[in-house]
Amino acid sequence: MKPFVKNLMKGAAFLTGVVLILALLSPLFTPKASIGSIDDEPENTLDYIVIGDSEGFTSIAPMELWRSNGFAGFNCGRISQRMQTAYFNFLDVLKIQSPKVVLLETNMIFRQQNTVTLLTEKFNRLVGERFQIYLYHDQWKRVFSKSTGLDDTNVFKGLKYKVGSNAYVGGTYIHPSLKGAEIGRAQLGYLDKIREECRERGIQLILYSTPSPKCWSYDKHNAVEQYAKQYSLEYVDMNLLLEDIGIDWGKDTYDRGDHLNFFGAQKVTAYMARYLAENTKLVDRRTDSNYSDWNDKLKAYLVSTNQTGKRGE
Amino acid sequence: MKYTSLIYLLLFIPGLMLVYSLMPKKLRPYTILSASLVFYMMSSGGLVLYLVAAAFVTYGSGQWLAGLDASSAKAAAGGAPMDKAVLRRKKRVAVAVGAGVLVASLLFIKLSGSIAFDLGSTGSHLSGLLGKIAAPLGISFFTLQAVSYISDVYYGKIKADNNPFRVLLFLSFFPIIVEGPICRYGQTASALFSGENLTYHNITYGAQRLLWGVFKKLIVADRLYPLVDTIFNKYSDQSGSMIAVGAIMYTVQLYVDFSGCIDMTIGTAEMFGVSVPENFRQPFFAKTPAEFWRRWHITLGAWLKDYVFYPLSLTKFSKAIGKKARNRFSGHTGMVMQTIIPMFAVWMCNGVWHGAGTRYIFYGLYYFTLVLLGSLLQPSFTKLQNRIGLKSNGVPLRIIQGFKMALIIVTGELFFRANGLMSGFKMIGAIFTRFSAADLINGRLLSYSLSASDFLVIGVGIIVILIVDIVHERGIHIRDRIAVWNPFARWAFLYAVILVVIVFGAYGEGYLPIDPMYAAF
Repeated sequence: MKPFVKNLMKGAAFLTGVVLILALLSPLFTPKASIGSIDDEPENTLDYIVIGDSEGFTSIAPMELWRSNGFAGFNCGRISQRMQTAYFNFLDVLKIQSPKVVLLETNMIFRQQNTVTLLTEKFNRLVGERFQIYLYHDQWKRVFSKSTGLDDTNVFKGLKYKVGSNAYVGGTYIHPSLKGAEIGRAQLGYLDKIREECRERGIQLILYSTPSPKCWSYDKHNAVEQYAKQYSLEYVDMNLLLEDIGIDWGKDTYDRGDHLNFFGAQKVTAYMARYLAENTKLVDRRTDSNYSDWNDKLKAYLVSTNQTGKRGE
Repeated sequence: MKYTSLIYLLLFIPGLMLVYSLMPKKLRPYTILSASLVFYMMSSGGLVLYLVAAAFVTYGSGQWLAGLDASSAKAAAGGAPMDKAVLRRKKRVAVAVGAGVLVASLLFIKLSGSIAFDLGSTGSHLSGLLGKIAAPLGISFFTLQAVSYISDVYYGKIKADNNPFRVLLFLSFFPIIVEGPICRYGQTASALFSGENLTYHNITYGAQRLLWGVFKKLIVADRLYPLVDTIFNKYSDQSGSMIAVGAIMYTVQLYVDFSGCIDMTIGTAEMFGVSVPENFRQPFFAKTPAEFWRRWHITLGAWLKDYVFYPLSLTKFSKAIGKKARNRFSGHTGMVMQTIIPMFAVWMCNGVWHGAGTRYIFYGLYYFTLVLLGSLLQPSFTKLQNRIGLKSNGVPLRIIQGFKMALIIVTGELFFRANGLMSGFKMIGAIFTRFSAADLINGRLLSYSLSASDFLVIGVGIIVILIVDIVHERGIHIRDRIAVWNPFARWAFLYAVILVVIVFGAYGEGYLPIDPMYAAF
């Protein structure tokens, strides 16, 4: 056999081996849904979910909502998440949960994308769907945390717990404007898909904008408001409600106004709790025996967040 | 397009290899050139025009110099040779124009950001304009390559290339464009333009090197990002012990990230039969600051030596200073002091090349001082060492040297990464005034978006990299060793490494994609 053909066959055999190994191992890594510890939630027990990027996972604290109103939910925000990833993750979650309400944080709608990032993400998804070990490679962390008892992040139900504070000192950042920020075609397309999915499943979709001097502007507000009006969606722009919510930029952000810290998240969550109580049909599950585990988790959560001995405990 | 992205690893490289193989030999360099330009445009869009313009200036300068040599040769053949001094002066003008335009553009682009920042408070129109100037990808690297090409043509080390596309390929070759290594035309050009067939050996060896680079970047460097970023950006909230941990981890991150990207670069080039120079040689095993810089970012050090140190050493001014120094100081001290001017220039250039911030200039001066002191005090150290009976290759001396170098390197990198020079001093101060040993064991480390499992992966990854560095230091070529294993063991090992990278890599959802760290310089 000619060396060229022999080497070609060796290369093909090696790559076939890679493909087979990945295909065989993929089922071991395939979660029911792709958002970290949401897999640990019993099926169809979450009444609401939050989707968004880091503005999402630093703003709504599900255990605070449980504590105040008994609403059972999960924060599915992911760092730097783009609309298309959010959409696919949302579909994954819908395989195991039937939320009544979806809270969509709006910052990711304006995350800049170009053809290369879109192509890259589509290709990643294409490979990931065939070899789920690539998409869900981090599942080993769950196994590690469960088997060792370390890394118990499940008490936060998706919230990014950050207590440090680094003040925002830039003053007023929302200046009324008539202009509307542009929503990219891809972002708009996936926002439409999420909206359609919610409509078909009878899920109440609520858009909300987390207070963030660094990320938010009135132009963006106008664009989201117009979209919300066009499709009769509810929209809560918390950047316009800073006084009602009680945001103190000297204490409530850990990175000079980009993200809220835990104390800011508590305030935003308290506002959202009132809003959800008034505008949705979410029910109080605190006395529901199927949710007794949530009360145990709450105790651990209060310890983790240094809130023991405070109200309600 | 990132070197660690699936689209690069599974589509771009294999696709290019296929097209390259199908092309006639003559067209293969143009295939790589087209791919390099596509790669560049996918990252920087229209800024590719700057790269093309830089290549045009480089090519034009080479042609200018070649034209002067040709005129001189023609005049000599005609019996009226050109005056050597006139020829040299004319050639210097050509170098000054070509290299001057390239270096001035680099300085302008690199400085505009900091000038805009300084003018920002004035709200001037100029600050707005300067702030909008975007740095083309890899400008710091390809500018040095372009200057080396012009200089090498001037010194007659290489002939000026008559094909502008070849010069463009030399500057834009996709594996080296992001963060080097800084190649010389004489080292890489012939292999780059030869269009040789792809070989099994090159592909397998190159792919293994590429895989090792991906391992280093995804397993350790990118996973460390949140910890380092938080500590440096919010150092005022940190205890001294956490700042020390941050400085050590940044040093590890920078080495693993940069050397990992160089592994990917060398591996990719090797797959196409192109040999590019090594940029790292186990830098943490250096015994002195000078040796550290012969092992760390080797191609930058070599470039500065060849194109700054030597030319400056030969200037009249430098020679005069050297003569005075030799007269003023005797023996070893005089020898060291005579190189002080070019040495100072080298370290200033090293600092400024990294950026316009004062911390970079400090970083250059920091190593200038250490290298100078190291050279001056070397005889005294040797005497002291002999007096207390420390063997030059003994374990106690190696431990002392290792500790000293760790301290020097980590301190230097702390200033290099700090958000400004004053922040660097404040961080150093905090290490001594706010040190809390308790923070090292009370779970504080788990508050930086890294879990215990992350630290486990980082720890194991660092140990593996350390072992590989020790093996390399002993002169063992791991890929040669793997090549002679029986096929079953070899394949099983490679499958295991691929799996480890896929499973334990810090990529995908939940991770911030991290650009190669030196791409910012």
